[in-house]
Amino acid sequence: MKPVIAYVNQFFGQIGGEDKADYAPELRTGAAGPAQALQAQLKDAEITHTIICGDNFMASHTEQALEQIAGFLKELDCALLAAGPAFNAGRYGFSCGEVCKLAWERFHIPALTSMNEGNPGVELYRKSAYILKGHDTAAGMRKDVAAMAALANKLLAGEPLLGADAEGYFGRGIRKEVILKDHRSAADRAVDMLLHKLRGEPFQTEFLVEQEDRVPPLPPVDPSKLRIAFVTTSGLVPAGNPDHLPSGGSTFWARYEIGNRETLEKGEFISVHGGYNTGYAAENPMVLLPLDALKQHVRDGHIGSLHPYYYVLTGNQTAKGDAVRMAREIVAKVREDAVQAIILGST
Amino acid sequence: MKLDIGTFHVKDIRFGDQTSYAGGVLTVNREEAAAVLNRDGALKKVRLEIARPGESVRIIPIKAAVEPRFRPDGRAMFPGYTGPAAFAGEGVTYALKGMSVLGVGCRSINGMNAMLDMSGPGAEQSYFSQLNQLIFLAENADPGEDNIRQENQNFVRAAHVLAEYLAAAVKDLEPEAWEHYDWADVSEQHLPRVAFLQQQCNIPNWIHGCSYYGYDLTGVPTTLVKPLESLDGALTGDRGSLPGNAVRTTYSYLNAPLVKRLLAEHGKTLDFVGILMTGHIEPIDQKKQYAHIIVSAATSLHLDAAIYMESHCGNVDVDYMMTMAALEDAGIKTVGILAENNGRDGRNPGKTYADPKANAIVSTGNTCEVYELPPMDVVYGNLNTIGQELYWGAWRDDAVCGPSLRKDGSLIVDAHMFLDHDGLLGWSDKTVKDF
Repeated sequence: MKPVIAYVNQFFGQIGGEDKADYAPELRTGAAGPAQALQAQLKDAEITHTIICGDNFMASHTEQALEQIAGFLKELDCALLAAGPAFNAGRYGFSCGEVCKLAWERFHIPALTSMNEGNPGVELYRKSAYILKGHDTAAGMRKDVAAMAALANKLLAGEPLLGADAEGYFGRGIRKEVILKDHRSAADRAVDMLLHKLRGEPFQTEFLVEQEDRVPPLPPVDPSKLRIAFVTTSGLVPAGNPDHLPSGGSTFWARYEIGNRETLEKGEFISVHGGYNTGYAAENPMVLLPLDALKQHVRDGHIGSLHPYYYVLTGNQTAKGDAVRMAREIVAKVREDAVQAIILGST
Repeated sequence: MKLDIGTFHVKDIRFGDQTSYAGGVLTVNREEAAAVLNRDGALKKVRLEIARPGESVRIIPIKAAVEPRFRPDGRAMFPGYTGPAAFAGEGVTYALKGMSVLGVGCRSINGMNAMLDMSGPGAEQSYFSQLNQLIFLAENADPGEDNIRQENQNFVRAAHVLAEYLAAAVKDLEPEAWEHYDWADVSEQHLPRVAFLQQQCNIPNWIHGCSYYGYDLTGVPTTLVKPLESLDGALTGDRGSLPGNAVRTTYSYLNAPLVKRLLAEHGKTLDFVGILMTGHIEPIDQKKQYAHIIVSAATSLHLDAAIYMESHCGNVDVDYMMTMAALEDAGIKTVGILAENNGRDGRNPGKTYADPKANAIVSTGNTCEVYELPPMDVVYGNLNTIGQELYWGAWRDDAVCGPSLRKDGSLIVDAHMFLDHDGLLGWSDKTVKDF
């Protein structure tokens, strides 16, 4: 029997209504409230405990409530945490979301709950939990609990999931490649989608673009008073590629000293980038990092000073999220040296 | 315009005295075939091998993939490339189905080569695993050509020559079956006018996406190609490079499922007016120019709708999304077909740049999906190129995954490694879903 822990609020935990919403977290043995209906539908799993907490207590003493609940979880064996269902109740959605997030992020316990699409908790917590698409009021309790039980049984059995839509939960911001069961070709899918679009019939895109994503450039700065760092996505590395920077799909960056150099000579530096002809860079690495020119600009007073390292990754095929993370890491690193502006060299 | 492809289904390949075909078995004279494919002496140490679906075989680095084809009327199969200029896409062509020719080297200096597993989890990632493979292994005769720009070209040419030589074995035989294609003028039916736009990854002196009648389309913003020409050897892929996704193989052009499906709809639900090969270019101002040129070509074809294939992921996302939005602005209802780059954890947005006007898209996979692959009993080529050479989908070491190549020959790589993993010409039976 796999141990499952349930979470409910004071109302569904049968402590009381609005007057008991300040109820502090309590750990109760066994299944309480809707968790009993959930227990009845679980296979080879037992709800060993139910955590009950007042919605107002969670909202107004969030940190304290979560610390108490973390204290419970630390002591217990738990394969899955099931919270709610929370319907369209905003405060309850917040409570369920916070507890699911705590279970997953601090204890790596998979967590699931159920909310109506109108519940603000969906957008806040969908990346931290499986949030099933639930009804807007407790009138839908029976169906919501059944849906939670079905997904819980799958997760507990380690069965592969079919995707957010097929399983009935809100996508967690994770995109995964799947081989279609019917092996329907991309050709057939594309032409059928085109015919639907031409006829004005509904169709479902397989890749949803929600918004245009542009970075507006900042106003110009006066570099003569600033400390500048040079960052490049060109894959420029010392010959021999000591840190094994990949030719595509970077997940890490490297930095190399240039403080004591005036130039980068042929043979000393190469590019490992897999998306352009790196022969030119092998002949003259300064096409990627114009070090001689940068140093001259420093001497001429056009640039205040130059940070003694350059930072590099390979732009080719690097995923956007990784790029954003690496940019933040690099910015944090150069800030330690009071760098105020960055020149981002392109390739 | 009519094209009749007489087909012979190759159930097995064997080596023997005379290159011939009988009862579903292609017999190949190993020495003669090696001499023919290397008739210009550009390669050395040429050796042929056979791999069959389900075998414990791994092939790397693959530089070319071609279906054996032959024209009984004497025209070159790949006009302008393996022989003199002639029109393709009409008349009679013979094809050996169920097999492919693979050109394989022992190095991959520019990393623009692919891998194929004939069994195991890797086999699911490439339709080529379902085909019998006649592999030739070789090295460039002139080591001076082992550079990032030239290293693949002799292999690619030799693969086309070998494909034509093999299919000539059926020149006096009656085809087992026929594929009949008729690309008639159906304009009087006033059906929606549809074109298939294909973005090519071509960067001068680096990646050469494809050639049309042997003419390199690198740097050419638009080229109009007849659908039947694509199925009949006018388009040759992988002229200079072939990673797992960015460049199409000649095999893929010859059998493109999207072209076949659009031809099946031609005269019924739509008027398939042609294929528009479109370029990709790096500077942002020129991307805008290209988008205008492509939309101008689309509007001069009076298109009502288009299917628009993206070449791969990354820099090309900008060209692609700008063009797609401009097509929609011009009133051309467009469906995109692309692969996503969601990163290893799937938490990346998929495209470096996107536009909400691109509202109808078929996704063929995640190019960064990570796969663990067991060792194979036989490796054709050079497995040690993994970790040494600059493949997009393999690494020498990694903080999370470790080295791609492990001591026992097992691998951890991403989807860029697999031969046409993305299947963007309509092959892919994969998609990407929210989890």
